[in-house]
Amino acid sequence: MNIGTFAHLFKHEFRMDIRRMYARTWFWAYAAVILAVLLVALGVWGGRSGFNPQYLIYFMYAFPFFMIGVGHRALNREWSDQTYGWWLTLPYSRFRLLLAKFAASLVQGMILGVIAFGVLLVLVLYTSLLHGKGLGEVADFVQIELQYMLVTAAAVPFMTALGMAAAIIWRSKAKGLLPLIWIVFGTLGNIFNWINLYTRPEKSESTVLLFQHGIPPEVWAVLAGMWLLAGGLFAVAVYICKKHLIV
Amino acid sequence: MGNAIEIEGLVKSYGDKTALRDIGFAVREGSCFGLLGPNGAGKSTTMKILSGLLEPDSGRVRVLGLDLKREHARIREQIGYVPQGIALYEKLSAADNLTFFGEMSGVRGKELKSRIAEVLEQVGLADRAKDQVESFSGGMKRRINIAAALLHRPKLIIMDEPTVGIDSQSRNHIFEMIRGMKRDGVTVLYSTHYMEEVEALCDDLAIIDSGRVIAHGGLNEILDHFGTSAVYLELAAGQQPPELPGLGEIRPKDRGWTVETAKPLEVLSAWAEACRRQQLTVKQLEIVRPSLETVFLSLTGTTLRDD
Repeated sequence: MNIGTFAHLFKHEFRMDIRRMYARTWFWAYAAVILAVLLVALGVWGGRSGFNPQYLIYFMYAFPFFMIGVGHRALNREWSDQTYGWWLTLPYSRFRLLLAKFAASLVQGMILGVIAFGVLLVLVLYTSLLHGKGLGEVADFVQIELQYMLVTAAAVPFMTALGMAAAIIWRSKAKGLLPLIWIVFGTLGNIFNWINLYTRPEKSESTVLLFQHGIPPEVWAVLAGMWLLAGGLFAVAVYICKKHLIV
Repeated sequence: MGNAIEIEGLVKSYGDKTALRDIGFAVREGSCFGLLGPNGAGKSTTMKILSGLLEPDSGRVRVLGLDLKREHARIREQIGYVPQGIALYEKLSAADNLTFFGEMSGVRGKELKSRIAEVLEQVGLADRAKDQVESFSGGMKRRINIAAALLHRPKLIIMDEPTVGIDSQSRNHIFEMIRGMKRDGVTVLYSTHYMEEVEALCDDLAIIDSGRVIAHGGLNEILDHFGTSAVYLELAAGQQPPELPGLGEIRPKDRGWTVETAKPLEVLSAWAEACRRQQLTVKQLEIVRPSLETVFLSLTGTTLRDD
C-alpha cells in the first residue's frame, strides 16, 4: 500500500470529523454545562460518606457504544453529504477507502477516550482535594481507569468496525442481515461482564474494579479475539462495499 | 484519433432485474458523446460502471486504452466524474472543498493552489472562493462540482445529468465549459434528459432503452437515419390548410399544421401552389429538420417511464 496516498486519505477523514465536532457549538455548550454541573455536585455532595468517586467511571461504559456511532457516521457522512458517488470513484481501492475511515475513527476514539479519562481523573482529584480525602483515592481511581482502558482497547476496534459494517450493510443488498447482526451483537456484547462473573468474589466490596484479583488470562484471549472479530467485520464491510453496495 | 471508451457486450443485473443486456458503443477521443434514454433505460448504470462505482457482470470495457476490470485504479486517476447529485461538503468553503477534492485526486501543494484558482475562474466563481458552499445557489454548487472534477486535468469527464435543476445562466456557463474542454482535447461523456442539450453539445450519441443500445452514431447520422423531415405551414387566423392528396397526413402543430414526409420539397411546392390558388394568407411555410426529440420518441415510444 502506498503510505503517501493513505496518509492523505486518513488526514482527510480525520480532519472532516474534527471540523464537524468543532462546528457543533451545541456539543461544546452541553459539555461545558455537564462539566459545570458535575463540579458543583461534587463540591456539594462529594464529601459525604457513601459517595465513591469511582462511580464516575461508569460514564465510561457508554464509550465503546459511542464508537459504534463514530464508525457509522464516518461512512454515513458520504451518503448524507451526497458525496458517496465521488468518494467511491476516487482512485483507491474500497479496502483503502474504508481502512482510512476505520483508522481515522480509531484515532479519533483514542483521543476522545484519553480526554474523557483525563477529565474524570481531574474531577476525582478535585473531589479528593476539596474534601480532604487524600491522594489514595486518586491512586485507586487510576487503577480502575487502567482496567477500563484495557476493556475499551479491546472493544473499540470491534465497535468501530461494527458501526461501519452496519452503515455499509444498510446501503447494500444485504440490508436484511442488519437485524441479525444486532441480535448477535446484543447476545455476545457483554462478554467482559460474563468473564467478570467468574472472577468476581461472592460479596462484592464497594468498588467498581472490573477484575478484583488481577487481570485473568482469558481477558487477553478475549482482547485478541475481539480484535480478530473487528478485522472480520471490517473485511465483511469491504466485501459488501465492493460487491453488494446499492449505488 | 482513437477511442476514449470502447464497450462491448456489457451486462449488469440487479437481482432478477437486468439493467444492461448487451450494451456496446465507442466514444471518440476529444469528442462530446451524449448518452440518452428514458428513465430506467440503463444509462446511469452504464455511467456508474464507467466511473468505477459499479462492477459489470460481464462484457469488455476499455477506458483510455486501459481495461476497466484490471486497471480500474489507473483509469480513475484519469477521469473526472460529475455525479447526478451535488457532491460537496456544505460546511466547507468552495476553496476548501476544492483543496480536499484536489488532494484526494493526487494534486497537491503549489500546483493545487494554482489549479484551484484556475478552475474557480473557469466556473466563474473566483470571487466566492472563501464562501461556505451552503450559501450557494443550485447552479453555483453544480459549477463547483464540475470544478472539482477538473482539478486533476482528467482526459475524460463523465457528467451524469449535470444541468438538472439549475438556472439558464449556469446552464449556459456549463455549456461553454464543455465546449472549452472539447477544445482542450478532453473527452466528455454526457448523460441528460434534455434533447436540446445533446443537439447543442454532442458530436455523437447513443440512445439506450431497456438495457440495449437502439441507436448509435453521429448526431446528423442519427437524425438522417431515424428522422423524417416535415413541412410546416401557418396561415392567417380562421383559414384551413389545403389538402395534399397522396403526399402525406396533415397534423396540427403549434399554431399551424405539419406533414411528415420523405419528399419535403415536393410537399412544400404543392402546398405553396395550393395556397396561391385558394388565395390563402401564408404566414410561415418551411421545411423542418427532424428534431432529436422526435427521433427519440419514435425510437423509445411515448409510454410514461416512472422508474
